[in-house]
Amino acid sequence: MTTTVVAVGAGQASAVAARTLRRRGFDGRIVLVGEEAHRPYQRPPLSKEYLRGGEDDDLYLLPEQWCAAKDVEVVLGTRVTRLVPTSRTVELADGRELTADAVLLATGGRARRLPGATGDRVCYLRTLDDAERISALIRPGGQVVVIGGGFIGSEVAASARARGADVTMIEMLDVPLLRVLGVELGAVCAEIHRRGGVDMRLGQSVESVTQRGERVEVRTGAGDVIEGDLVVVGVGIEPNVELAEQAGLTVGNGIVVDEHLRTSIPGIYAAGDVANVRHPLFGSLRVEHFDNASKQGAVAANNIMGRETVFDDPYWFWSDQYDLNLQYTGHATSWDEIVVRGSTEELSFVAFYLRDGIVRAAFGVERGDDVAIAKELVAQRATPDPLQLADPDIDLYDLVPTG
Amino acid sequence: MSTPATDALVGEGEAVPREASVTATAGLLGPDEEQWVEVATVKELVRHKKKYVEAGGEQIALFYTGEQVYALYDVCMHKQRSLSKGVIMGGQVICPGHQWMFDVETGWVDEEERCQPTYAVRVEDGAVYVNPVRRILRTDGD
Repeated sequence: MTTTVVAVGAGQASAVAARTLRRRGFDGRIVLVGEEAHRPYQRPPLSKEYLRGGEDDDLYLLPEQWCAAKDVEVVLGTRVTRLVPTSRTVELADGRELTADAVLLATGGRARRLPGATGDRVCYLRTLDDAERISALIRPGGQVVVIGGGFIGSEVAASARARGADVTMIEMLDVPLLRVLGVELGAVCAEIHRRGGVDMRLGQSVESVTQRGERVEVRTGAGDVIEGDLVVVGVGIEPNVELAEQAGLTVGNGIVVDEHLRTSIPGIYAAGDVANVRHPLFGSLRVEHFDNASKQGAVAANNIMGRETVFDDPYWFWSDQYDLNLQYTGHATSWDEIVVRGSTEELSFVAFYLRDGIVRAAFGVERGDDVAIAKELVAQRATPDPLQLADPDIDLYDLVPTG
Repeated sequence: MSTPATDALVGEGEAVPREASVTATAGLLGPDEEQWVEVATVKELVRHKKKYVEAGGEQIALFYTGEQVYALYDVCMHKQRSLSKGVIMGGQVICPGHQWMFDVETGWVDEEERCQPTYAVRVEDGAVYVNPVRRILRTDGD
């Protein structure tokens, strides 16, 4: 009988796990322990609506009222210092101890640092505090330097442009998102930024980042010197595995879990950015996206309650940049063929990544409808005729095997 | 017909906590007969599965699935994207913006305690009529 669930980390995965447990009728104790001082909040708006200066009512995940009504305890501003795996006891920095029947490790990750880059105008974006700091430094007519053309860097660039700042993006590879999207579609992303007015410096490494007073200077490997009011570094995250590691759990590119999100020690689960999952479709995989954290939080809750649930979601994430909505589903590190449906020039298309004829992933710009269907194609390992896939006159839904 | 017997008008476009609501057994807060507006033919919906229409000043997304016609407020409650540009799959309307999924009949979001407003629909002689008054259908919860 599970009577106490402790979630380490109070982000998306833990919040959804708490909601799911209560919705499924779990009446035991639920405690979320978060290191940040803020109540649980969503991270996606931080680089989008929040950075553009707009209000976002959706930022917070578990309103105080709900927690009170549902008897969910949220311990904030408190670090978990130790996990005793045999008794599933969690030790908090303030000296408290919590013993649970099930522990959910949803410790997320931290922004990867650029070696040698220091100064209060060298920024990273992971937390609400980070977003506040960056937002305060962006000004109309100011200069923002973005290092890294991934999703965080891309969204920061778009949001800074929306605030009227000049933006220079430095990306080490020849196109943004090269490894995820390939050269052709990565080039489309570069074009999106150019159309948005961003000065793109592609294929350039960063030699040094130096803050002088209120200016930051970035020197690239090619010898370019770019100055800004601030530099935002978006070069990925490192999973927070220390607690799991010290507890003796199997760790390797995150906390290793099976398809039920169980770690190597019974009663301990992991979900979200930190979890390296054995995925039925893609093998061992750690994914750093919102929807993944939500779905894994729900799956972990189910399994904690004894409702055996496999995590087999084909993955999905989105990015809002400028006036465009980008979406991706599936996972592909290599492919034989990319089939484009729609027009990359007009920035309205979906691109399918096929390997051995199987749809492994899809990337869409302003094609959320097609991506929703692509998700089904990926989930069912569909092998549609590429010509039909590209043909706008054929209803995409008709290509789903069991539609 | 897609009008369940438990319709109740709760408000326009507001999110209603699912668990705070009760199943309404009171009579239908019935649409005035004069408010039924002809907006489409069943034939075109069978072919295209969805259609954007306007009636009574309302932006409405029509969907056709399981040989039934449904109507939802077209402007997604999440980020104001157009639901009629989304898809209908497995009884769920999927918003093209951020893949929020709404029950085509009730408008409720499965994993969120939120509801997209819907409209009453009537089909007669191959014509689709909508009562352009946004409603939040109450449910029993899960």
